Amino acid sequence: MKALCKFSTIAEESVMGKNYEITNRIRTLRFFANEMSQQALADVTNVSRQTINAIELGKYTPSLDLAYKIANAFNVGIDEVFEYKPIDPRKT
Amino acid sequence: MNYHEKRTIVVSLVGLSVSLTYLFYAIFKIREGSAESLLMKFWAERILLFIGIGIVSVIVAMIVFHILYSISLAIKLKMENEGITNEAIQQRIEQTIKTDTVEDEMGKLIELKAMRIGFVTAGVGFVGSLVSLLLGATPVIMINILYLSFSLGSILEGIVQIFYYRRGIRHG
Repeated sequence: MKALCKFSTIAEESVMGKNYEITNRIRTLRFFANEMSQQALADVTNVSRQTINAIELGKYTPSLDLAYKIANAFNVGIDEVFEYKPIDPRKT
Repeated sequence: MNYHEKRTIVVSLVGLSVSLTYLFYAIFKIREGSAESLLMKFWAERILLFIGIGIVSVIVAMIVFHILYSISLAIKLKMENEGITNEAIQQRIEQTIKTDTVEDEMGKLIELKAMRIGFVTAGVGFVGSLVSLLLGATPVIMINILYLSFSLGSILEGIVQIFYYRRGIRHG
């Protein structure tokens, strides 16, 4: 039990310590969607092209609402577009 | 550089010019030491005048900016697509402006974060103006600190917006 508590604390700390990141496959999905342009995706999701570009580059994490809109635009589940994973320390 | 960044730069530059003009005017008037510059009514009039000048300047700058932005888009389209008709250019410009000017969640989040910095600056200025009174400054100095801190807050708001558009922003 003590060990379990310790584990959960570590997990919580690592989440609070922002050791996780949200990555996305929007560029790949656009490619497979007949090379859909950023502008076309922006029009479908009702945001600006700059916002789509920022999301693709990982400069902006979208709201849940926008994330679902993007996933719907490609007819895939949200987990196929976005992934919440630990940051690879070798990359940082 | 996207539309929002360009627009923010224009608004910030106009704000900066008006604030600097006011600052030089205020310093000149206080140094001159004329009788009217000791009256609060005089400064209230001047500050209201500069607020009006600021609003009108931003409106004019926005109109000029949109005209120049459309012209630059037309030139870019002409250079990229030779033989394109004027109607097609007009249509493309309208479409681009329509999509560029969309105020979406990212823009709103950036605006909120920037506004917070602006309010903090204005708040610090307000406290600073009260402290200046306690330290023996005249109410004229106090009202000028107050006005300039609001102006500085507005300029900082623009700088923060550009910073977030460049660097990106995350929720939380």
